[in-house]
Amino acid sequence: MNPELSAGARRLVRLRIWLGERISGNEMRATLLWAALAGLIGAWTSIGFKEATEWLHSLFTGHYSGYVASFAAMPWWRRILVPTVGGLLAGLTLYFGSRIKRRRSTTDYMEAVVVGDGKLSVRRSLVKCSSAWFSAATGASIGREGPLVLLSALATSMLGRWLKFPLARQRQMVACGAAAGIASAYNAPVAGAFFVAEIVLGSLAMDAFGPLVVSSVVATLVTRAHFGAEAMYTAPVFTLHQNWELLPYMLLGLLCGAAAPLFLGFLKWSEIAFGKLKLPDWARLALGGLIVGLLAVAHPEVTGNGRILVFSILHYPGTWQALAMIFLFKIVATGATFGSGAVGGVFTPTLYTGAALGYLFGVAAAALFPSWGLEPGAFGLVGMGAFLAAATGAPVMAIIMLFELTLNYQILMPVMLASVMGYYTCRSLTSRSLYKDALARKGAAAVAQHLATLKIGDLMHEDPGTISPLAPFGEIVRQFMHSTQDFLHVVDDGRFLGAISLHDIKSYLDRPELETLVIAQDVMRYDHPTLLPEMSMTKALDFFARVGTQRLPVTDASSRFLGVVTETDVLLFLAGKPRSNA
Amino acid sequence: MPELKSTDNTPVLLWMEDSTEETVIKRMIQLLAGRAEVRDLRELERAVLERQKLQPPLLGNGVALPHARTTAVTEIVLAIGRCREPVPFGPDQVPIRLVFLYGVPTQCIGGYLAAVARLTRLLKTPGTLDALLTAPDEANFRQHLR
Repeated sequence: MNPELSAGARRLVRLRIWLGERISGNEMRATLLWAALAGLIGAWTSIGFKEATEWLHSLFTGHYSGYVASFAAMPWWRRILVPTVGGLLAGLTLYFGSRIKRRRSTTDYMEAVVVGDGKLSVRRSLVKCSSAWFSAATGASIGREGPLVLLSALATSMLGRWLKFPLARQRQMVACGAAAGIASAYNAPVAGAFFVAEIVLGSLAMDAFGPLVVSSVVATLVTRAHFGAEAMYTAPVFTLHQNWELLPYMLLGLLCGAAAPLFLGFLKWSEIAFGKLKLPDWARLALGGLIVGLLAVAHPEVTGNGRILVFSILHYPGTWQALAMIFLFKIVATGATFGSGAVGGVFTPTLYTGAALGYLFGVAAAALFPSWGLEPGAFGLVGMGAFLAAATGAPVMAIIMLFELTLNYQILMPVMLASVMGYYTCRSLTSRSLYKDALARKGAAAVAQHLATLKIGDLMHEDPGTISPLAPFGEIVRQFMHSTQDFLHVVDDGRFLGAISLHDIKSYLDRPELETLVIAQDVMRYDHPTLLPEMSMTKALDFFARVGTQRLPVTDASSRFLGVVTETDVLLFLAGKPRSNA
Repeated sequence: MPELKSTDNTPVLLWMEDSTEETVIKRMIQLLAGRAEVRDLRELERAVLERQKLQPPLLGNGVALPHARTTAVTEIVLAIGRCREPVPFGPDQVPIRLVFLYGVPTQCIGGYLAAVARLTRLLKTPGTLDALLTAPDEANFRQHLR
């Protein structure tokens, strides 16, 4: 190779140094770019799943409208048949897929992210999503968002694996995929990011939160371009006339906080009850479908995730008696679907439960105090937020989610109060939450324990930019030109010798005569710090702070060069590590 | 940062009679004996010879810049020698007449690059190299180094 560098090349290096000295955080910028790609992938997998579900739904029901309208238009026998056959197909999918691993749980949100190393089983995830596809399309009382998020996370996990990302970034990619899935499922970019940060990562540290925001926003933009930008639950405009009106909302918060453990307990109970039947997957899910079908004969409103029901509570609630009846039927249908082991999310059913509970409370409050001018519809909105906060144990996400779902600013204050009241009440009654249960079942404690034992060696990856000690000065300049790093690691025969700092040589880049006089060994730092694979993450952070670099070499005790670890990966790991009580 | 400020106190040896690369370097190392900046003369010699084996730094036009980064010196030291007859350096046996030998402390990267860059710039000045090669005595030689 000709060691002489052209004047143009040297100018490029100067520009690169100039930029490098003014803009720091190369690694984080790269992470944000990957997060944007994760958002794009997440959005398209979500769109694909939604479209595929609607297509299958029309195939089963002969209708292209929503679940409730489709079921209402069908004769009684078909209302029973469709969910039963759907459950059977979903069960058979799981049954044959269970040769990979038997599934008990249905709340599949978290597994995508809390799986530990960010590597999802492609076959198992596809089996679950296919099963969820049958359930969701045939009217099971469960949310589509579970498989939708799982698919999105799976796609980003595969991308991370293909790019050979180290553990921390791999997990971050999966988290970004999940955030993108939620954001595109609910048209809620902020809540998507907060959901993963608050419930999964348990951290709002900017290192982890920033990429989630980027992927959520990208996913939402793509989804809006496809489906439109309307709020998911457009609600009538709500106005707070007097401050004291907040009092009944606080009471509603308390009620939701007290009701959430009952809801969670009922879901758990139904799961245990179905488990006691000791049926194979296909029979259990078919039975769940049959129960939903039987309930749908009387009230086709019980089918689907409950989105239409929330919408009707906000706009055309009807009589409270009818609503109460549908509420009871819907709860039973959700229990039957969830308990039977259908794959899906319970997020939307939770929203419906809160909305119905809030509305009924509002009707009662308005009847007790007719002169106060209370609006039961507003209580429905507040109930959604408060019940979600209590059931998920994530009040911040619940408040933001409710705002994004309704785009109703006036409702925010009552929702904030009621959500906090609901959260504390629920926590004082039970430590259980929608996702904590799911995580516990999936062995998240074991995952957290495993993560606590991980060391620097687990985050290490290959260094594409090592240089020989005999490399001429021109080659060093060339390598810096093609790299975004401030240090080149000098490695000879697998042994780490030192590092060349761009800062040390930047003033001499325009000296072509040095290009043959000076070799890498002449300008390398012998005392460049190295990490050991068995080093803890926090100790490694001290090293990063001391050197002021974003990437450090990892060597064994005999100076054998093993790879590199970036500061971003360590920060992402620490920010994304599940809490020990998760 | 330790840096070579001036060549006024630099030992200069003209009319060297040595005929091999190794003897030229050893003789020039001896010029640095007794200097306060040199902690270990033998170690300096060993380091320079070892660096020569890797890839002898040759500037062209009969100029060599043997050097080593070593803990044997506390500041950059320089010794200058001129051979009476060209001496073959390196595996390609490049004929050398002017030798600038540097000892550089291990932590002193910028200072070393600065010194080498200054020297190469000086030698590129028209007439300087010829003047150094033909200087009749040390005083005249030093004048052209400034």
